[in-house]
Amino acid sequence: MRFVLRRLGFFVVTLWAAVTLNFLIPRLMPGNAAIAMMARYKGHVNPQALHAIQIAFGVNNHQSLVSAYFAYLGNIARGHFGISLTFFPDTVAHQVLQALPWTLALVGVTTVMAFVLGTLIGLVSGWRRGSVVDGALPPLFVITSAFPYFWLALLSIWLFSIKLGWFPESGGYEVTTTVGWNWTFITDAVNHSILPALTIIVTAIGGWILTMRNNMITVLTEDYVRMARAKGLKPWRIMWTYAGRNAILPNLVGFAMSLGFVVGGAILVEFVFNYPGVGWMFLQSVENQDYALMQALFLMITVTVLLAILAADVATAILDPRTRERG
Amino acid sequence: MSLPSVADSVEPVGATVGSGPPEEATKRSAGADLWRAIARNRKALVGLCILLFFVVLAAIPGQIAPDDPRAKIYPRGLGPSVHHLFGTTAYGEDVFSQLVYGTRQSILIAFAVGGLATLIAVLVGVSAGYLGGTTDGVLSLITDVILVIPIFPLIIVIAAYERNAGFLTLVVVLGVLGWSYGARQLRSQTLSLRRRDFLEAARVRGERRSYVIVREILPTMTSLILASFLGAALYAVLFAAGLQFIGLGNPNSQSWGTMLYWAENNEALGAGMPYWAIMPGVCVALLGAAFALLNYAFDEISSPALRLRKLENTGVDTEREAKAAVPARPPDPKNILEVRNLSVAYASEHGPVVAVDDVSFDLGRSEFLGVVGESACGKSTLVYAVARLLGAPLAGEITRGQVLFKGRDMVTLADRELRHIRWRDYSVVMQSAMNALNPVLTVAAQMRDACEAHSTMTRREIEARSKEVLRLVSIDPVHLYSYPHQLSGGMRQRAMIAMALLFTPELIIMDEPTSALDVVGQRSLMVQIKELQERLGFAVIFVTHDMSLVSHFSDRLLVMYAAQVAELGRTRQLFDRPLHPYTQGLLEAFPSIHGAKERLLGIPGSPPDLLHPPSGCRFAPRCPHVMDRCRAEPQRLLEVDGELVRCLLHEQAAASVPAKEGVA
Amino acid sequence: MKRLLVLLLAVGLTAAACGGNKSGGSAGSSAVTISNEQGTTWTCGFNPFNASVSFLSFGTEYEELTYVDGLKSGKTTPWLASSYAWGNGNKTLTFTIRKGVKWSDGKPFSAADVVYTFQLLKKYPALDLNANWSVLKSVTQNGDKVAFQFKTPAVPYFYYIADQTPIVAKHIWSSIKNPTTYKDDHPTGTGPYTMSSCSPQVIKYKKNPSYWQSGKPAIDTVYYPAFTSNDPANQQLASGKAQWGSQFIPNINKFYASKSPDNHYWFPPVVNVAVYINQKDPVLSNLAVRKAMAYGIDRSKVSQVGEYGYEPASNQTGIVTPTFSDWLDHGLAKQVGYNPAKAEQIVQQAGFKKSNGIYQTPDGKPLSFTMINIGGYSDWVASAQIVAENLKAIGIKVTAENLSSQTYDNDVYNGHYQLAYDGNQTAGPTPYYELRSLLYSKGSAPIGKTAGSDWERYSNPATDKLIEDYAATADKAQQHAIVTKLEQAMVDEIPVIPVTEGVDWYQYNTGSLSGWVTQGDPFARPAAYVNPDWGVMLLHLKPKA
Repeated sequence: MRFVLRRLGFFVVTLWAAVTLNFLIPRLMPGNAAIAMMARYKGHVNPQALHAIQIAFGVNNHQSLVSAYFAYLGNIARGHFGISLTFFPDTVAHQVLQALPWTLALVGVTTVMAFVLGTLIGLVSGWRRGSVVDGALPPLFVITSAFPYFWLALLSIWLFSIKLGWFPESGGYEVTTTVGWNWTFITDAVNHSILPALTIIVTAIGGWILTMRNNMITVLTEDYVRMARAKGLKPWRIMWTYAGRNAILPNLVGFAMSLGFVVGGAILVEFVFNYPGVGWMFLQSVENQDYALMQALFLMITVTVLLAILAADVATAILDPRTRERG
Repeated sequence: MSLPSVADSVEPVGATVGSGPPEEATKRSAGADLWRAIARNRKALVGLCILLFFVVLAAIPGQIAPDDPRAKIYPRGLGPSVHHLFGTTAYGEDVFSQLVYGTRQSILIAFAVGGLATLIAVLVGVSAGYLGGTTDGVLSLITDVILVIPIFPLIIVIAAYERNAGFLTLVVVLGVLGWSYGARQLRSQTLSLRRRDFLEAARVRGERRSYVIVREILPTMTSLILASFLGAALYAVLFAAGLQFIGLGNPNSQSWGTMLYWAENNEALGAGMPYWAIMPGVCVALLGAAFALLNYAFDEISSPALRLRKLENTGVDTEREAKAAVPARPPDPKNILEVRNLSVAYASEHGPVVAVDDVSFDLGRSEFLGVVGESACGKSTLVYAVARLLGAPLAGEITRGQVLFKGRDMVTLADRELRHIRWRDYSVVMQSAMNALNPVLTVAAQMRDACEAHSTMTRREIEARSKEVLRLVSIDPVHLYSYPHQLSGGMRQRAMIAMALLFTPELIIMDEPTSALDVVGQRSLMVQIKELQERLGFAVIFVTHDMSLVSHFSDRLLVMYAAQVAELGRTRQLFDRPLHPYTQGLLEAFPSIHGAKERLLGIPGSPPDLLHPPSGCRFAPRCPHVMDRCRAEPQRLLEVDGELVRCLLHEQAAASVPAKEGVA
Repeated sequence: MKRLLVLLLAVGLTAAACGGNKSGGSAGSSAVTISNEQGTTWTCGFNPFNASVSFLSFGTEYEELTYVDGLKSGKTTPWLASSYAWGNGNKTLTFTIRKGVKWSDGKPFSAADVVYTFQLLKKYPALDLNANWSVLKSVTQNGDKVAFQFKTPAVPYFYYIADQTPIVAKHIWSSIKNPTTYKDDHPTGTGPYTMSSCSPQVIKYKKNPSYWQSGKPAIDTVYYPAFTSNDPANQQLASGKAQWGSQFIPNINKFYASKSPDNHYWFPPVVNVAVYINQKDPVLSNLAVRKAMAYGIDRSKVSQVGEYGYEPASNQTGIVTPTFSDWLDHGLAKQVGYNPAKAEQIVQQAGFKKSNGIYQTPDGKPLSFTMINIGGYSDWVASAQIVAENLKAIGIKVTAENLSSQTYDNDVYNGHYQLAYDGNQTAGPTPYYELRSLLYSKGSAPIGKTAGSDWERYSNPATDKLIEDYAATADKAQQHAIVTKLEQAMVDEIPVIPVTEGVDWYQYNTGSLSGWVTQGDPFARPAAYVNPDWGVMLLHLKPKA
């Protein structure tokens, strides 16, 4: 019970911290949305029009910080994120919702794949310690994990798209393709996602391999693994049910957090690949001082992280019976 | 085991010092040892060399770069040549010179952020871990919160608004947001250190807290602090490059990230200036790889389980030679087990350690053999070698000898064949059922998989058999579907014994199965084991350090000292008339209450270091009856009144030397 | 979820998916793909009065009254109005509205729509981006004629009213509650194209079969993909996937032109990129300092190194050549050129002394300034660096400070800077528009207040008078005379230092299409982001036989 309370406290405090940070940052920054607006129009807007636009936006009302804070909290609680400056006059919610599937499909799926693949490789290299797999893959991917992602992506585009022509170089799909649930579009979208997906996996997999391998090696020294050997169980059974299942437990929350960081991680991916997701949108909102959009995205990222951690707690509870009762 | 919090999961299982062998836990693992460990680790060396290379570039770019990195004096977009190793930029600058000058910022950012983040991590982590209580609660909460705040987006926000997001901004932002991971690890490390003897000692001495932290705690965590530093440095280099690449750094500054920004903005790859775009990335990747490799290496160094030690050929016989050296004498069918000239060695950093040295004994059917001796005398290694269960963490190898189980040599048996006889013909009961039972499976599941591995029993039959064996050890079968942690300590041990009885094997190897229990529990469990043995007729090898406990139940006793057999004989005889001074000492020792660790009062001193055993009698340094000859030459086993003893005192009484055959 | 599964499945089928790489439209129909990096995805809003999306509808769906060619000194082409006439001492402008034009929903277009459009701007100032109603008194309909009454003579406003105001349908817009926040996701216009489908990544335009210019347009489909960064947009052009480009391509000969003999580019200059000098700065208000700087900047080096020569070197008069060459006083243009020796001479004569390589004012202040610029415009950052190096050579220390665009704009608009590297001025069909936005002090504001133009806070009543006089005359000779005097002010007083000439970025592929704007026939400004010119361009394009 104490644990559940502590956990709950953690969620509440984190959420509050994120929400407050979210509120404060734009207000501590120089410039304001109106100027940003004028900048976007490249001086083509006359001051009266600008003034009228500002009123339309509601950027010009001078509230006190405290009342603004509570108004902000109220809006968030009701899910009102306002109108996006960047995508004026569209609402933030609409914009985010249409960009999100792209990010989830690309970066989300890839993050899962990197975790699964990395965990498997780590499992095998830990199990077959000193083997060829163990000697080659973990060090290799530890090194690739130190590659600057965007650089790898740029080189891949240059090599695989431009020089070799294997993959399209950018975008979510071919501009001449009609968006919809038809085979042409789906293959096209998949085709466009392969290169970004591969580059993400190559840079993200190393961490999982290493932690899983290390966990595995530590778990292999446990008595219950020796006991399983003594029982004459088949090696794969020992590897999965005895070693693997115990070794993966500590990685679950890490995985959950990485899922939560999908949006943050998507920023560079989407920047380089001109991919139409929320990562790029976030960058855009920052550039344009589009607070409404920025706050919504930032909040979404934090909430995703928290939800993912919650999911990991549940998963841990399912996989590890000890945690179920001590709660 | 507490419930996983954010951080529990983030840290590798083996990160805590507690899991390491005792020699690692002492605080002297700091300076010199660390350096030695680095020098031995190839990954660390490679990483260190790369890092050093860049540090030199960063220190004296002017001496290395041919040009001012900003001098726009050459034709644009030149290819690589002797004058321009990597060609020129679109602005007519020398790419190589820019790379060299760009090193400084990356190195500085890496070290500054690494330093700042580590400093905060140490302050927060160690205070939280050491002070505990509310301080810990608050600090841990802050750490957890920072850990889940999305750093990269936040940095982008700050960098975008901060005028001229320059060096200082980057360092402060990255440092202030990048410490939480390290802090978590340091905290749990400190927690595990808190209860350590040397800290207790320091506290008892009345040292001030700050002294304890700085002089006692920090040195033991050198590797972890370094790892935290390297992790932060790596992420700083990558983040900074990423920010600069998307144009959020200062494009007038000289750095690799900025070079990439300019290269990308000038289509360097597509417009014939590939090195301009490739090389800065290579540098970031190399520096990053250096940090990653060092981190990987320190991980290995700080958690010894990760180090793979191999027995190198340093005078220890290989298995094959050993086999050849043992004469093929047909096994006696009366014996269920014959161990002949068995030697086991471990690899250590200083060479092989022979933990079982030329041990021979026989075990009759339904016989109860006690194996006794102090901790670390090789008795567990012996029985695990017999059971063919060596391997991590006892990464030992059988270097010679035979283990004839029902006439077949277990040493040379292939894994697959071995698997067939495991558990059916012999089973094992371990010291702590808490550790030996898989925590994530129910007792039933763990019984079931053994049954499924060796029989074609149906699910129902398996369940019935499982309940039956539970009843045998007086456990109510309702506990069958419990998880190990749901059972009491005594029940767990019984459940493990029940599991060992599933196939009513002919031999059960028991490694201190009672030592986790209190005295009352020990006795009743022993009685039960004995009853079962008598009823079911299996043979037992029973390892214990508690001679008085086993003596009531065993038929024969094998006393081990420093990897060798000191004495082997019938229990009664050995008890009434111990021949070896060590056995005498054991008998005089105060019986233990808690089990494992306390010194035997009867014998002053402690067992020798097996890496450098005494050249003569291994017990000589502690022996009350020591003679000059004892120190001069190794002693052989002597047969005295049907018993074996390794002591010169009985030379005259000795009849023959049966166990020494085959030894050069 | 479905998509997630599909992706998971299909990533495994790499080989299967890799095959089909198609380009261009399907056979039988003609298409043009535009590659113009806007740094944003599409909102799929097309409100022509929303400055951030109007470029996507104004010229294709929505049209102007009279087309004014910015590359031919304002040559007019009748469009929705078949003719126009000035009267009443240049205070009344009368358009005759074309007959037979239809909205894309089939309803007839009439003069009432024109009047309604301007009433709409009056009612909602947020829509009146060019501040037409700051000079307008009334707009009235008389049959097929629409008369615009001005408060004062307002000849330059012809450009804004005739060419820069999209005309919308009364029957649609009169039912819209809030035109300011109206998204207009399915625009109804009179133009040659209609929006056929839109996603955040690409807009597809289809030709309007009942367009009033019969037989036009010749191209069936226009694809306008959204590019969030330059690189992929450039790749699309180089690979020929896009035929019409409108952005800076570094190393264009190697990266683009050399890839295909059909790839061409032309960068007509339209406006200056200049160093703004804050006139209120105590040191910079000294003319000698400004003069020295004007002599000290090697404009052709900036042009060659910083801008690959795409943006030609400017001259101090502020007249962009060759676009407006006939407005240029060549004598004035030659007066202030690159001459470092002269630059140092000027400050020395003004009593400045050099110390540690940097000149100091007679009262000991070093000539050390910060020049802000936008960090995101890499070519300008490079150019600013060269400017700084130039000035350092003549003993004036300039530190380039790269800011985010919003911080930068904030500083420039409020006058919180010393020097700024900028090209924010309004381009127009004659050089007057730019000079006005540089020199007209009534568009300015005190330091700390947001200025709409004249950001360097230059103020000279005589110059203001010249600018107002120009507005009162439609006579070319008089206009030229006034502009020459403004050039004189630029040279004499150095309120800003034009460094390079900002251009319309324009790349085109002649493989499958003809009819492009060329240097020999600049019938429209050729960048896809210029409205309504891109509509004019699309009307000229034809598929090659």
